[in-house]
Amino acid sequence: MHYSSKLIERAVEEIAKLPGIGKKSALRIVLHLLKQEPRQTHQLAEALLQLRDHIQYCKECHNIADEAICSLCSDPRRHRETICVVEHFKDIAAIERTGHYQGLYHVLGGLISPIDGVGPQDIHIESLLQRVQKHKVEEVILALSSTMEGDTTAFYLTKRLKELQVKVTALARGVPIGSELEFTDELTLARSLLGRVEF
Amino acid sequence: MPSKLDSMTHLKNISLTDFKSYASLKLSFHEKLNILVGQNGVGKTNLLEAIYWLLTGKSLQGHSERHAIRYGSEGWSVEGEIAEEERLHHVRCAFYPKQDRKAVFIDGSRVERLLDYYGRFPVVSFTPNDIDLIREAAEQRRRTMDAFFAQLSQEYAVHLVQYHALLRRRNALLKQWREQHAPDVALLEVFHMRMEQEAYPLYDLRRRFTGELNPLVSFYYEKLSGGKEFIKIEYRSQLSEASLQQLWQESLPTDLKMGFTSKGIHRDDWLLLLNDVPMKWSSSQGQRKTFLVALKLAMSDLLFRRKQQNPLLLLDDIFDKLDAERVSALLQLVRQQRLGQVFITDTEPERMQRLLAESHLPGALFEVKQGRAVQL
Ligand SMILES: [Zn+2]
Repeated sequence: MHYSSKLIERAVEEIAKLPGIGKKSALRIVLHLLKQEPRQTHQLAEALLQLRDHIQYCKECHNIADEAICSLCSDPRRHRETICVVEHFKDIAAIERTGHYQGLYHVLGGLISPIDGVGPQDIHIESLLQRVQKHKVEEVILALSSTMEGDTTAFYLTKRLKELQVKVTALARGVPIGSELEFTDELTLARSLLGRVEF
Repeated sequence: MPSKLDSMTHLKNISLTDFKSYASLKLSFHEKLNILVGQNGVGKTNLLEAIYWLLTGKSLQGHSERHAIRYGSEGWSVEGEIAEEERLHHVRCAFYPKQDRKAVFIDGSRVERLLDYYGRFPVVSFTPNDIDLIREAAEQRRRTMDAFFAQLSQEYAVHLVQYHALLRRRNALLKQWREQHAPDVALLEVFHMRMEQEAYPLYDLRRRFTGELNPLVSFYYEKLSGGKEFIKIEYRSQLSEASLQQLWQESLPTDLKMGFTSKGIHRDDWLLLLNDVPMKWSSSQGQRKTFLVALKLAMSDLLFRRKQQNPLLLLDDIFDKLDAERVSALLQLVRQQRLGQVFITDTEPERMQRLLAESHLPGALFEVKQGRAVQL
């Protein structure tokens, strides 16, 4: 698309890089911003810059944080002998909403997924083992999704944590195992029939 | 006395939309025998393919969903009514890629997990390609085994799909480790533990089902050939010789070098024996075809015994290379109740008309021409 202004063109291009936003939506956003007070655009740009430059990951649990240590890890009321392991920091919010958990968290930042080339060393497993060893952790609760990758990660963690003599439990999960079963090629009777053979 | 025929599962009718060469086609079927005649390449097999999609949610010929789209259209659908005891089910299998993935509906509600639909309406097929079972490598025999056993048992289907999902991941690990560093033993052990949980049930079921199939194959082979020859299917598995743990331990260095899993339940095979000699080496074309037909009839029979439901039999181009005696023996077997509804394709209308008349079989004859089919 060509716009009469290089400035618009550049803004549209940048916004369209965001997930789920095409050029059309990007142009709509740009035109919307131009209709608003300049202050609004400044605030948006400022908030994004602040976010990008000052966001941190908690040195203890890898949760998203404003300081080097997140608000959960630095809260003296949290029980420090229990760690709940989750995949993403957004899972923490879901568990916090239940109001039933008082312990600490550990964010893996992913799951072991051989097909995607993600191994144990690519997610925060070593730091979890270190935390368990260093502090007096009594129980590790695994709250991972019941997918094949979630299960693999859970079994792997259980194996590694057992060496450290810590109690490992898993969150009761409502989803039946294998609900995401990929129905791929296994039950295909024949390979594609290229060149039929004669008897 | 109500005849058993009334309660037999059968496809009453079918309706195709933009499926392969058919823009739109509606057919009503006979509950016992349906014969589709037409020259090669007019779309007889496509009709069987449509029936197979409808009954299993899969392709008979291993084709993709896309492959079945009629040229120039957006997608396809196959629907039909299946009579099952006193009930009549409306079933629909549809593929419109712009809107959705492939979907199967029974009585208006969508099947959530297609794996659960597979085996719901059992079906056994025979295609000219089945000759690969005898002469090709183990893969084709395993496919036949798996596709059949998964219909017999939902448990089998789930273990099979899980095992292969784990196997793909183990293979991915081996490939990565080939390029990178030493294997992570703990992670490998996790996969071994989980693959064992899927493999041993598969091993037991394969052994058991093959055992149940054997006397039936012998029975049908004898009926078709008039006796004298001895048929046996032997289940072969590396698990009979060593535990999976042993196998994987031994093969790890090779596996790491090759980047895939060389040993396990995915290497199983059937050894097909005629008079104690592998069929691959010694059998004639007539013997091979007779064996394959006997195998398919035996599968159909076993499905009935285990599920108390008659499978549908799809026999594509079956009479070619079978002599008249074997053909009439086959039709006599079709008359038996437990073989259920049968679909047969052939190229010669006269031959089929004569066979129908001679065998006194209740049935319907259809003539298939490019994109059309009519009952004669
Ligand atoms: Zn923290």
